[in-house]
Amino acid sequence: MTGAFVVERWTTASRIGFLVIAFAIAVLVSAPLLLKAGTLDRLTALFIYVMLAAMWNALAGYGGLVSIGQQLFFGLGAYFTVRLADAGLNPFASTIAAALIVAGIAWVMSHFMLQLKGGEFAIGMWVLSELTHLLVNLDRLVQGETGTSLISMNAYDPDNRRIAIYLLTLGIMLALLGALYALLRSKSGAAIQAIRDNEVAATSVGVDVLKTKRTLFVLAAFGIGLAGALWLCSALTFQPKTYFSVQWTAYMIFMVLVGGIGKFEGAILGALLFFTIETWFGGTGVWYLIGLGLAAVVFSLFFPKGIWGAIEQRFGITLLPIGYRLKIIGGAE
Amino acid sequence: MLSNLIQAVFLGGYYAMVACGLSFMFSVMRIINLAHGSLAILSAYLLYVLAQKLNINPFLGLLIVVPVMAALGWILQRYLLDRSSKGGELLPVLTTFGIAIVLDNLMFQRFGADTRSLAPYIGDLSWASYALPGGLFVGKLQILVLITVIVVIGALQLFLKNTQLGRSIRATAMDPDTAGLVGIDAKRATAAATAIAMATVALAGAFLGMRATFEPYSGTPQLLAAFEATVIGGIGSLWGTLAGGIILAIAQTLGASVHPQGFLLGGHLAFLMVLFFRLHRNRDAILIWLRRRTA
Amino acid sequence: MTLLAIENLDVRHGQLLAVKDATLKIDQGEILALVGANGAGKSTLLRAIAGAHRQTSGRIVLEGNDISDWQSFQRVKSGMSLVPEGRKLFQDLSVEENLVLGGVAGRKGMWTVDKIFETFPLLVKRRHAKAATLSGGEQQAAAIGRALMSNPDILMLDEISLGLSPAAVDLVYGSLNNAKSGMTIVLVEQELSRAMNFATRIVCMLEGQFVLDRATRDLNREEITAAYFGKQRSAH
Repeated sequence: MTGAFVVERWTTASRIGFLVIAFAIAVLVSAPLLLKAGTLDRLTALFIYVMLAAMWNALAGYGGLVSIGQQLFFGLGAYFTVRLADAGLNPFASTIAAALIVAGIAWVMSHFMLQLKGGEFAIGMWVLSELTHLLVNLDRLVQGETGTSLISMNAYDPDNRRIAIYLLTLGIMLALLGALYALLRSKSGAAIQAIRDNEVAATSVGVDVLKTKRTLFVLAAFGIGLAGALWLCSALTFQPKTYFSVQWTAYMIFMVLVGGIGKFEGAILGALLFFTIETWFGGTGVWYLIGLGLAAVVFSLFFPKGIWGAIEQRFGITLLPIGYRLKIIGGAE
Repeated sequence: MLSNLIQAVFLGGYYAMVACGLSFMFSVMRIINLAHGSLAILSAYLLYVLAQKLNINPFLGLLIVVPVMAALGWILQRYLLDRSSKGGELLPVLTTFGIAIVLDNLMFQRFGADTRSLAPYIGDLSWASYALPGGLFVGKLQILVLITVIVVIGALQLFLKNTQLGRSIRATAMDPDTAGLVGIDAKRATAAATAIAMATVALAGAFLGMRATFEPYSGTPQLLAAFEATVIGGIGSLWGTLAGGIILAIAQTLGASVHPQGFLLGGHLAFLMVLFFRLHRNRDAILIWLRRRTA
Repeated sequence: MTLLAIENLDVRHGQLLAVKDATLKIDQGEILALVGANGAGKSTLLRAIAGAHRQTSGRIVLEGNDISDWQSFQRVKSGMSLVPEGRKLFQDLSVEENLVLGGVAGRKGMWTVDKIFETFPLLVKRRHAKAATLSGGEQQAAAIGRALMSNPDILMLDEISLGLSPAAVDLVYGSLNNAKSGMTIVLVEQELSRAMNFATRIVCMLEGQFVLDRATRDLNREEITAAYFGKQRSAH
């Protein structure tokens, strides 16, 4: 009655996609030789947007945890970088160390925040972010809203510094994406997608929902913390109001909703779109923000799967092979 | 100290005014309306324009703004939130967040960054006060706010208990599927609930404008205060929200007395403490139940 | 006169086709019992007719009106009422509040809150009690009362004996007997003897399809049982 079948992970489209990605990475790595300073800076920003989108997507799209307070980790990543650098640690090393501290704090936080559900969690994280902002302001080094700078970065020559930051950001972005990809392909990945589809059913087949959510929560905090630290390396100044602003979450929401929530490729697409729009329209002030807000409303109502979700549905393409496909031998897929 | 605590009670009354609409919407529709604060600011601006351009006293202006906001709430629920709720509990968070951003920035576009106030348009009400024994003073406006919030919450409770629409709203909140089977138009019930919530938001915006200043981005602090008051008081209870608002204000006042920057900090910390106490207590209840089962 | 007609109704439950190409006519005054094993599609069918579950294809016609696209509350306004499986009373509301809500559709008729308490005397002393505190039999009576409050032309009841003691079921059916007075009734009932005692017509469902549809007086237990388990697939 049923024919023989084979379980596959890769499709032709995904094989091609992988080659394209490998090629793109090679190009990006050699970019410092080809591009001028301003472009390098912009690309660094793009990489940071990709990190933010991927991490918020990991939390919301895969973990089902919508948080309006992720700027908390962005700000803390930058804050600890300043603090560690001020204490004498090399600024580049400070970024990594800061992110690790942020991850530790997130781990502690997860024990109580993950007990909140839905909208309460979303806004609870926002409250926590405001609280953290206030606490950071109390640090004498920061001097309230006046802020401070990553002074030790000035020891390096601006051009070399820029290239170093560019490569570091590129490397970290790829590492984070790689880690997320590996996570999703692993057993935990199946657990994550099970939770996304139906939490109760997932529990009933033995998935440790809490542990999985905690992993995503900490990973997202780590990644966003890194993003904040790297942004600081580029921008040099640390004003709490900028880093703890809820606008960062607005950007993340836009990127993920428009790109495609719960889709790996979607987050990257969303970041690219956001970057493009910001490059063209960022100068128009509030109209740009109004546009972002409208997009969030329109997409959440009419295109909840985002652009990538629509593409996937229409053409059946999956570029990055997560999950399994059943291929009937001798028949159609 | 006593004077500060009395002020805190009245401030709490204001917080409850902002919070009761949020609390109402959450207990009825399980939607946290992240645009709640921004809508209060919108109401304040509407009253400001009426006062400044047409010389309409803000209290009279409410006769226009309250129905306008209620209608806006109806439309918001019927055409936006109802749709996004179908996508699960999380989509409305994103939709309302988007709406908040649009509103805040549209208001910034229109009115700029200057702070405004409705105080100049209400005569001496903004500063007049009664003298109490012991050298304490209580503002007339403060008393008005507290009385209003008590009346509004009382009216809401009566409405929910004793009217067919109120009962329909409660039934739809408990079980929308069965509500339809019984003959309740669930969409109409939730739209009515949102309209009512927006009417209270209009009042909150009015009071904010009268007792303080506001600017386009003032929505966020209002939203967070409303949320904290709701959670401290216990979700699902309107009178609890009143208590929550007062406790929040007292915590903030105590925080301010400890450290110059301690006002908001005190409130946030109180919120977190209440939240974890409640979660912890729920967990203990579960542990006790489990222990009984396995013993 | 045909009161309710369903034509080629397909209803899905997720991936599963729970009701397959169902066609049925119910006349005014009939009392139809829908029997069949668990998962045969009986509840899904009733819910689809009531508008709580959207059909994939096919038509539902009530008193000549095509109500296939109507929402459930609109169907209640037109004279159809379902007592859902599991009673589904509004737990935080009292019995009286539940009943009063049943009348929200505003249809006129013989049923008022007082008449409900007359017909279901076991509810009288629980008038102001919260629905969550009622016993199974009391909840069932209240649920039926709530459905009657809309003065329906056709009353549908889904598994009213579920979870009730035999004595309680007797009480409920007794009251239902007093209440029916010419109303058209469709009920899902697992217990064959009760179904045969109460209904004028038996329809048996198996895997989403009708396998038996005959007047009670023309049937015996063996025939119904055979159809129930699928040993004999017969039409009318």
